Amino acid sequence: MLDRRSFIKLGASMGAVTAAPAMAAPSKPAGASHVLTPTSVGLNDSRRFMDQATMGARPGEAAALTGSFSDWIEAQVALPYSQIDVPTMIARGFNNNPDPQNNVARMCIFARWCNEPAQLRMRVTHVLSQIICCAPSGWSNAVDSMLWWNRLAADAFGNYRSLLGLAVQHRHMGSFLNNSDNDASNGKAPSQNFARELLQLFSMGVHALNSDGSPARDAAGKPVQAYFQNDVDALARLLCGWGLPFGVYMPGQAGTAANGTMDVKPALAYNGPPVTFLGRTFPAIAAPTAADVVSRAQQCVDLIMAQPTTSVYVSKQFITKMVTDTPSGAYIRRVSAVFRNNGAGITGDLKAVVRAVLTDPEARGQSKPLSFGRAQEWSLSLVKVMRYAQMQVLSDPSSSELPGWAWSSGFGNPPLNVLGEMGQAPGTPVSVFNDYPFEFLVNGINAPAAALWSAPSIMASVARTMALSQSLTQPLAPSSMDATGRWNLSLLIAAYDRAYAAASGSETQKMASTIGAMVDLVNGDLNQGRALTATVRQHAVTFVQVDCAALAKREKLAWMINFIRCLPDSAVVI
Amino acid sequence: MPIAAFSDKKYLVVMLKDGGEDNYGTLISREPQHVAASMVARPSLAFNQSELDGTYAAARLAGTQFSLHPALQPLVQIWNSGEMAITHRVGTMFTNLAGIPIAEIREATNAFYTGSILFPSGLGAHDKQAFSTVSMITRDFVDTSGRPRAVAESGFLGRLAERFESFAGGSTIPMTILSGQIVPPSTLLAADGLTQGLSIPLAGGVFRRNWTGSATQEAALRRLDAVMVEAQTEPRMEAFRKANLVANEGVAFLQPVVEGGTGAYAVDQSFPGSPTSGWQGTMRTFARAIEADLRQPTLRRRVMLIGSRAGYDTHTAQGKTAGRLATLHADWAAGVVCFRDAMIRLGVWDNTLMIDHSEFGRTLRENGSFGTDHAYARDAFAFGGAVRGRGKDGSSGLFGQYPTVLSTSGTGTFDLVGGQAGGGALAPGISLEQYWDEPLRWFGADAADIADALPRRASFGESVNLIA
Repeated sequence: MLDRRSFIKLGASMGAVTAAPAMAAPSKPAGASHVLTPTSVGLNDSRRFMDQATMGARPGEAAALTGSFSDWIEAQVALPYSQIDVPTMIARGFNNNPDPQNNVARMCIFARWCNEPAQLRMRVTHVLSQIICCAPSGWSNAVDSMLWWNRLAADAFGNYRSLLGLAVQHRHMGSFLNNSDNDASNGKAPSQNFARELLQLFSMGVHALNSDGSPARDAAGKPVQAYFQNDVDALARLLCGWGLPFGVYMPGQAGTAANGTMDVKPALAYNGPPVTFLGRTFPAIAAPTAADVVSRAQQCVDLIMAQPTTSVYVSKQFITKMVTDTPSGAYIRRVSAVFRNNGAGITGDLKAVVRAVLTDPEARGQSKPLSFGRAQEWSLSLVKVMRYAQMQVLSDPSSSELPGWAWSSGFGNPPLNVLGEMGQAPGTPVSVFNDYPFEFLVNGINAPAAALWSAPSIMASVARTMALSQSLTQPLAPSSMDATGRWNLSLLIAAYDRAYAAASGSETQKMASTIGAMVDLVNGDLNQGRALTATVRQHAVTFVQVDCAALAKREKLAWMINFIRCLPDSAVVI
Repeated sequence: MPIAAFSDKKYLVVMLKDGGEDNYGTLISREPQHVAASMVARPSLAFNQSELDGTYAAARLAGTQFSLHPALQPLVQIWNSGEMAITHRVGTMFTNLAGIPIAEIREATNAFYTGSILFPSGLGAHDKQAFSTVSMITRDFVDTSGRPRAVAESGFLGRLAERFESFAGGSTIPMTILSGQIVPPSTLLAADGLTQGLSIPLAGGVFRRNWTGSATQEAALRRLDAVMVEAQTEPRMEAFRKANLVANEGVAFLQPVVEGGTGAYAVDQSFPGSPTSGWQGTMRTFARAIEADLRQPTLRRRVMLIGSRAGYDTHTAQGKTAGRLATLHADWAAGVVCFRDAMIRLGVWDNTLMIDHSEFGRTLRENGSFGTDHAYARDAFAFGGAVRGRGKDGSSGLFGQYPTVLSTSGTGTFDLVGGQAGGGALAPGISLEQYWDEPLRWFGADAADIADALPRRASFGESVNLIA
């Protein structure tokens, strides 16, 4: 096996055999912003917008965005979408199987990421699943994860308050963070797991925040706590009284409510002395009723929503997970103001928050400074390529297109499996802290998703995903049931044909010109119009023109897409 | 520090018990008051006197009042060989609690952030306390003059690794190698400029670049390698480029470690059943990596290996002799014992230091779900030929001060009673700076390295005297 230095030498010599095609790219800037390929005014901002608002754009989709971004958001919010068909899943026997690896739900979610026209809803659901993280626990029922995702998707443009309420009440979360059948009755000390994370991760963070996202400090200059251990103690008690009819899941058992809500169990509720949570004292109730359990949960969620820090914390999460790892204080302040009041006096209106995040002046613009943008996580970078290649995933176990699919049919499909190897299986965060931390510095800049760039995940990204270029462009035998989906690539093939028709000169020159134009187009679409350096562009062109010379047009384009995806340029959405 | 300063090889193995290990279910006091208090505070988890003195007598640590959890009994042989040390009440501190009268502590801590006692914020939060414990720099870091200083979180091992990076001998492979979950070791290692260590799958997996043997893929990889030569001006792209270089060279170095069949490495003989998962799989992978490293004597003089395993966040159904914690304990003990055997086989046990770590301990009080909740300090374990274990230089093998009386009478995290906080949480008596100072010096850190890695070291007292 060649070592890295031999690779480099060989690569450099290979790069010398091909002449640079006609459209020369500028050098990488040393200044404060990125150099863009020449294009129509607004196209690159549209490309960026699509990267921020979707799981990935189809070829030409950004260019077709001619109306206002707000109009596009409105249209997306109104689009119907496909919930996971839980009744069908139950009819196929999935309710009888615990699914600790979340195998079935992750297939359903991945299919929706790739296929759904309601892309903004998919993206916002993705964001929500990274803030209010919930994964299967050892005894989770297979369908609860699907019900949870359905609820996140349904409330993606609803109110954040209802999502916090969902976290309190849902069986999936109850199992994950142990609030199911948590018992505070008769002096018992309840588990504090859920109560702590509800405050720390789902709503406030440990530090009180100023409106610009900076930690609030006291007169001595020390950070102010958002809540105290006494609040955790109290909240854990006040949120007891929810559970399952049989205690914990066993195969073959299902919860009572079809939407995944836990049963109310007043016998487990706190019946001790008054407790104080976030400054409000809850009176003692000697014999709590079901209505008391529900009322306490509602009051606690209301108190959390009323904290100024909640609006800032959640807004910052949305900004950093959609637009930039390095938002200005003014950007955070503007969005959190919308979170507090959508203009109609309503707090927590997610539709308004999403619009504020995506249409903010800091998010928009043709060219952005180097510090702008976000390190790309694997789930988004991979699905972006799948969508760009017009992949239609059919491996949705609840789909009528796969009527014969059953538990015994096996799980996953190649791209989904690679995503699992990269540590980002859909709907299955590695912990309640998500797949990567909220803050993570690299070279002096916050880039949380860079924490995912481990050697094994890079191997999976480069090597395993490369292999998809081959497998997903191969035709199937006529009788085969394609559970994965093929790369259609028809739009890029048409663009290729147009570029070829417009080229002139010898066949070699026409090919060089065509491939150069396609590299520029694909790189522009995938990387917000940023230009590759001349050297990198030359490697991309030569790879397709020389190393892929014997391949069919479709395969050439597939390799090109994946090659560009593996460049450092594709690691950051700017 | 010049490379010439290191003439030998040393291996620092850090074992992260992710989730917060239950200290009271790990090291168990046999003092009658402690046993009685535990039986009341944690009825489904505690061991009674006859169990400790009879049924599980083999888990007793000779010469002490303590027993190990029965699932940790294999570690007793290391204790008896004087190569194991346990330090009580190690935890995150801002200012030194040791020596301050309890009444003063209680008075001071009843009001948060007032008086002479400062506590770091974020106690009890997995990620925040992991940051403050492993990095010892948090956003609320206060310098020696008491002034707040906004410093982003970074990991003290990462900062140390950066100072030692030149010891990689020109290789892009950093001196740090990870295995296990990604996020906690990344937190531990985070340091500006060093995005990560080299993380590897466990032995028995697959770790290669051209998975399918495709000629097109091989060509693409060569082109990408050529691209990665070009430094990036955008800092995140540069981090991505560097991560690719590390991964590429790491594959060449570690592919045989991961994929080599049983018998390819001498250390495999120390791991019955060729484990590929859990602590035993991690330790086997580490042992193989060390054996591979020893075959390249001119390369790294220092290697830091960080393994982690999740599951220690035992809020529910923790279990006593069977269940979640017992399973983790048994796996960990077997991994440590096998790893020690492997290092002895390689002749580098005296050059190896193993230290366990967890973001916090857990409450003495059992909750209503038969589990325990987040607490504060814990008992820390260290192993190695150089550890000042029982009988070495007159050592008892135990360091620090265990509470005289166990109680759950405190009502809040900071309501300290006799070395315990609310719920019976152990309050720290030894700061992490005090605890880690000596291991880092053993590893080669000088005063400047310590000042960078442990910037608040001067705020605390003497080191533990853990190393012989």
